[in-house]
Amino acid sequence: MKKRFSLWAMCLLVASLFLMPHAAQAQCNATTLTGPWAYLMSTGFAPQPHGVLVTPANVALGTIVADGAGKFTDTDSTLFFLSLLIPPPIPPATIDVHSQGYYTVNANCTGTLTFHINNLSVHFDFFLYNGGSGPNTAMYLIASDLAVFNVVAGNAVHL
Amino acid sequence: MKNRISLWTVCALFVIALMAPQANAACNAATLTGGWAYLMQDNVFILQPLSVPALLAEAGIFTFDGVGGFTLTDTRSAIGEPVLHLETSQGNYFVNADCTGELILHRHDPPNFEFFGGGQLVHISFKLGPGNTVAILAANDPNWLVFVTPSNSSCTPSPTPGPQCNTFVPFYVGVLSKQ
Repeated sequence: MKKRFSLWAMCLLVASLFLMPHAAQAQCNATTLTGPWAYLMSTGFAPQPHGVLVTPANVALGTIVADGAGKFTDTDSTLFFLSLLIPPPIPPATIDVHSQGYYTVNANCTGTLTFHINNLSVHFDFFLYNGGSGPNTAMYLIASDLAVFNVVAGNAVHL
Repeated sequence: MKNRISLWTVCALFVIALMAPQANAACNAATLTGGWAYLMQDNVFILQPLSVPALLAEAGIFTFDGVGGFTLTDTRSAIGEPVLHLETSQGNYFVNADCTGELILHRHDPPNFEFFGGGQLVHISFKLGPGNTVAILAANDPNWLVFVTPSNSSCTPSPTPGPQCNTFVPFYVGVLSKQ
């Protein structure tokens, strides 16, 4: 009888592991970001009447490498569209940027990135999610500075 | 001995059943349990009569309780407006058996936040993709008013926009991803 009880207890224990709610999320911290992340951020495009685009728009593609302790390095290329259809057309310009920055990660897997580009600080909020290779392996990003010309948002994945 | 084998068999079958992938199972409120990150953007938006393009975006994390309620921490940005940074709000949701559903946000924005106005309910439709770990989002909610007015205008957007206010309904699309 005792053995049978033990058997049932073991069975229930194993089953309970599978029945545990998957909502329990791992807590995030600075080490969650450790390593390289590729990102793509863009502004929206806002066509004016008659198809004329007068709002500056840009797309940034880059890589940040986080050290696991709150600092990162960044290498990116940003493509600027000043005007698409106003004659004479202004060709898009590409700027390559190497910068450094700081990041914070909250326990609920939100956080902030601060890029230091020359004497300028640019801030983003991010929100981690499962990018397909495990929890917190991708993030959505949104610029958190006052949006003067465009709203910048995007996505990053851990490499 | 025979009883013990039967017991092991029952136990093993039980565990195997729990381990089996629940492919294409009908959805319900519990499908969204836990944390989900999202990003939404309004891509094309023309303000009239100012003829100045405006863009909106927001990103954040929903925490669903599995029974129809959620809390939300998000950041929202709109051209020319102060960013609403990591704000918390609550809401309700429902999930249909076909894995479509709706998020109902209870916003309590600052009354002078011209793009979103004061407290209001915002409805966002969604459809879960295969595996129920990603959903597409779309909002075209007449309750989701955007208030556009020069800064020196006498527009009072809350609780009901005054006659000096220009109001628009943005079309938002985005994605929701399980943490």
